[in-house]
Amino acid sequence: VADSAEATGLKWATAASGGGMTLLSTTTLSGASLVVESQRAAGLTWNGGQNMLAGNTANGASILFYNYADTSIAYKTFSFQGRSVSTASPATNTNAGGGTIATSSAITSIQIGMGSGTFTGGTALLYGVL
Amino acid sequence: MTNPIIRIHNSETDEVIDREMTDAEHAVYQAQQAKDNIKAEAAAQAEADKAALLAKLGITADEAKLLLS
Repeated sequence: VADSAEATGLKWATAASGGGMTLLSTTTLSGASLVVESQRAAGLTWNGGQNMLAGNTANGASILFYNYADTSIAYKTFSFQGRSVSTASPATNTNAGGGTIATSSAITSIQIGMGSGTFTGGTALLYGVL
Repeated sequence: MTNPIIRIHNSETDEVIDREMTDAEHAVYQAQQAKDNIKAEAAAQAEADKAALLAKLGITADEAKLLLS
């Protein structure tokens, strides 16, 4: 119900629009490093057959920045998680964590790169709040 | 020698540029790679040391967990 009648004894307003994360762009991974730029660069997720170790086939990772556009905050908090699969040992690696970046500037670009070699496939999805 | 390629995607305009890294970008990239490689080598060495110790003790990883629980 968008806006109920008071006759039911309850009334609530229409939920505020916006606020959700929206897919802003999709980029095919290529080269040794990728930079995705946007004024709304809140989060990036990437996956595919990147050559992260050796013979990987199902890697994926994501990072999310909180309050990414708020210039009144001196530190930007982020969280990340990822998984890589390899023919090398160990066969799988799962990582998750977070931290802060000491900047009051808005996050307007996110860069990812390879430990060695170049991306051999996969896509990066940029999300933000419109 | 050419520097690695960097892809830059401007989500506002949807423009994608593939270009060589500048020397400054390449230096930062290499420094990060060196850090990552040190971490990866340390992790691999720790795994190898653990496997060698288990072999020396003649027990499995699960048995070692039991001992430490």
